[in-house]
This record gives sequence, structure tokens and C-alpha cells, in this order.
Amino acid sequence: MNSIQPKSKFQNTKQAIIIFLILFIPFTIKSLEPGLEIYPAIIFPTGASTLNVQNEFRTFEKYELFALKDSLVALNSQILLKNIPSQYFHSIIKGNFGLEPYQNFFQFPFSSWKIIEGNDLNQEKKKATKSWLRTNLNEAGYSDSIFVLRKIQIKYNLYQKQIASDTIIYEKTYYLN
Amino acid sequence: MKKLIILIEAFFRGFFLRITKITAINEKHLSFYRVFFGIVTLVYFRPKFSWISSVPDSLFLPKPFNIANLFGGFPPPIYFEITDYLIIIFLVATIIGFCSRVALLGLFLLTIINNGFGYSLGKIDHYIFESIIFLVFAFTNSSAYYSIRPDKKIKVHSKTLMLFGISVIFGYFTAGLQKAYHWIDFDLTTSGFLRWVYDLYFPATQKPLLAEFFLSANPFLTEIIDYSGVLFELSGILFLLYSKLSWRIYLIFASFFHLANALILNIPFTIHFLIFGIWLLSSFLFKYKKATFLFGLAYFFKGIYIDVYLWILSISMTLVGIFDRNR
Repeated sequence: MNSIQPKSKFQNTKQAIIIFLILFIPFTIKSLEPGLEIYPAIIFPTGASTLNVQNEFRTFEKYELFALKDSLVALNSQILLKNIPSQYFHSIIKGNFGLEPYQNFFQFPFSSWKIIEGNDLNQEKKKATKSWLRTNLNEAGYSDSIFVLRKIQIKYNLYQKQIASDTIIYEKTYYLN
Repeated sequence: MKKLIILIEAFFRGFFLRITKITAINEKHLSFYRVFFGIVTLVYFRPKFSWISSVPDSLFLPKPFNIANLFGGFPPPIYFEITDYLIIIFLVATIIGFCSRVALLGLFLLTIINNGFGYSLGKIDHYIFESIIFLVFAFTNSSAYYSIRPDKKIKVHSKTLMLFGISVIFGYFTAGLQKAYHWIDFDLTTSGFLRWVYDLYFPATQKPLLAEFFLSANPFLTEIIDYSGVLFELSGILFLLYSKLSWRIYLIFASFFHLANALILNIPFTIHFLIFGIWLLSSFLFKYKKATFLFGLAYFFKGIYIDVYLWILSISMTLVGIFDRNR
């Protein structure tokens, strides 16, 4: 208890200001531009978007992977990205699985300062990544030549409690040879 | 002007004093809880990072303000192997109370830096309290008792717990503020809760245990869930300021919130039961030491059932503790 007794004038006010700055600066930056989230900082996941529940259909999107066995078959992301926890799947898609250059710009709030995010890809790194992906596919019995990423829009029928339609809205083939 | 500054100072003095009183924990109880925390972390939640050693360099894509940018890329694979062993050594030192403070600071630094490398895959996960809790034990007198070599007592014990209490409610506040803007819309044709359910249910290979019941839930129910979630996340400060009991009640709400997330969304955040446990479990387990063995039963469960069991056990013990008149 003694520790919070003021040692100097306005000790508690100073302490409050420091706590406020440490907590709120990273949170404010993240709220204004999620791409500029600071780590480490005390921030919890938000996930504030909403789903339209106007009629009997619920529409949402998901990514799926496919690879060759005899034909193109579904591939679990945990097989392709061996050891990498599944929560990173979407961010790895954003970075093109490390197979293509990726660059993005963020505007720093209230300034003209731009910050670049990128994967600094060169031939050597690309080769190593292809080799790693090929090994992962091979070990699971898939052909190691290609894999396919699809973004699928799903319409779920509430009354029938089943998927009414699934439409491919994006497809990309990654060549590993 | 001077009067105003004096008033502000008096306000913050009262504010910090009140939270310090409400978050206070007996040093002996916290020391016993340190041993319990170390064992549970070692058995169920040991931070492991050797999976990063096989990740190719081209996947290194940290956000611009991730601490991992200081290193410019993933360290050599041997680094993660060594730090995984160091984490075990530091956890054992924490449990037995041998240079605990140094070990806890080591655990804090290693988990902060290594998680930074994990988050370099382009997504920052929000398990920050998994690291901060080590710092909390280090800067309290949690190693003054139940230690082979007790650490020197320090003066910031109460202050650390006070700051940690503020951090906990602030964490939930950051999750709730944006939700309040989007979810409190008085519109039955949109649902924030169902966005989570649908986004997580269909891609999941291991379907969440209770999610199916909510796929076609009544819009009134999902709207109430939306508002309740926001209310819970934003109201922490009121519970923290009111009384010791209200603070514990808030943490029980938080435990139910995480239990529901584990059952409906497969997002257990189970490490948080150890964080809440500082206030909810430390005195109970100190009094009923044999009850700690019940946590060992989680070893016989698998997957999400471990998380569900631990949350239910933690909530049950807290409720028993609150109604235990002999305390």
C-alpha cells in the first residue's frame, strides 16, 4: 500500500498519464489503422463485423485448398503448411504463400507518413519455400507440382439446415516446379 | 488552476488506492499460487516455439510495429530449440522457487520475443497476458514463500497487482469498443455474434461443440448476445472500482464468456483462467491445497475438452470459494 503514496508532488497524476499513454497509444493506432498494430501491446481481438440475417439464407466466404492426387482433391491447410498453426492461414494467403512478392502501404494516422509492409522475396528464398511446400505435399501423398487456392462463397439455408450453394469467387493455381 | 491540479491529484490518489485495495492478494496465497501456476503452465500451456524453426524465410511478413522487425528475419532453427528448453528450465525454477524472479523475467522476455516471431507470419494473436503474467509474478512477492531460495521482498507487490487489474479490464475494453459501434445497432437483420459462428463453424475440421445450435438461432437471442458481449467487455472498470466481490463477479462473467467461446466457437483462451485465478483461485487453493489435484484430471481429456474442463473447474471452485463462509 505504501508504494502508491506520493513520493513527489503529483505522483499519482503522473502515474495516471503514463498508464494512459502506454495503454491508449497502441490501441488508438490500431483502431485507426489495423495494419499498424503494435506488438507488444495490451490489445484483445475485436472481430466487430456483422452478418446479414435478413432472410433464410446466411452468406459467408471461406478459403479452401486443393492439390492433385489422381484428380484435384481438397487439401487441409495443416498438411500444406506443416507445423504452422491454422490461425495464420489467412495471413499466409495474403503474403501469397511466400511464393510471390508482396508489398502494402499504410498511411500513418494524421500524417503523410507512409509505412511499407513487404516480404522481401528473392530467388533463393522462393526456391527454399517451393522445396518446403513440395516436401509437405509429397509426405502426405499428393503430387508436388501444384496446389490451388479457392475462395468460396457459401449460402446456407436455415430452414433446410444445409448448404444451398457454394460458388467459387476466386481461384489461383500455385506452381511449385 | 492550482486548485484544479490538486483536485486531479486527489482523484487519482483515491482511484489508485481503491483499485490497490480491491486487487490486493496475500503474499503467501500468491506464493502458493505461483507453484500451482508453474505446474499447470508446464503441463498444459508450455509455450513452444520450435515449430517456427521450419518456417521458410519468405513467410517472414511482420506488421511494421512488430518487435520481430528488430531482427530482420527468423533466427536460425537452433535458437527456437534452445529457447524451448530454456522455457522448461525457467518454469521448473519458478515452481521450486530457485531464482524465481530471474526465471520469470526470462520467461517474459522469451515469450514476448518468440511470439513476435510467430506473429511475423502476418497476424498478431492476442495472447499478450500469457507473457505479462510472468512479469506480474516477477514484480510481486510471489517467490517470498514456498521457495527453495526465497527472493527478496519488493515494495511494488500491491502496485503490480493494481496495474495488472487495470490491464485486464483495458484488454476487454479494447475488444468491446469497436464492437459497440457496429453491434449495438438496434437492427435484428444483422448479427455480430453469428458472424463469428459462421466464419468459424464451416471451415473448422473439428466442429465447435455447441455451434450447431446457434446456426439458426432466433434473431432476438443473437441480438441479446451481441449487446451482452459488448456490455461485459466495456463494463470492467465499474466492477473493478466497486468492491472486491464485484471484481470477482466480473472475472466470473469473464470465465463464463470464455467457456461459452470454447463451446460455441472453439476459441478457449484457457490461459486466462490462470490470470483470473490470481484473484479467483489463489486464496481458495491455499486453503484447500488438495483441490489442486483436480486440475490434474484434465490430463485425461483431449482437445477442446481439456479447456472446457479447466474452465468449468475454475468457475466451480470460485463459486465454492465465494460461498464458503469459513474463509
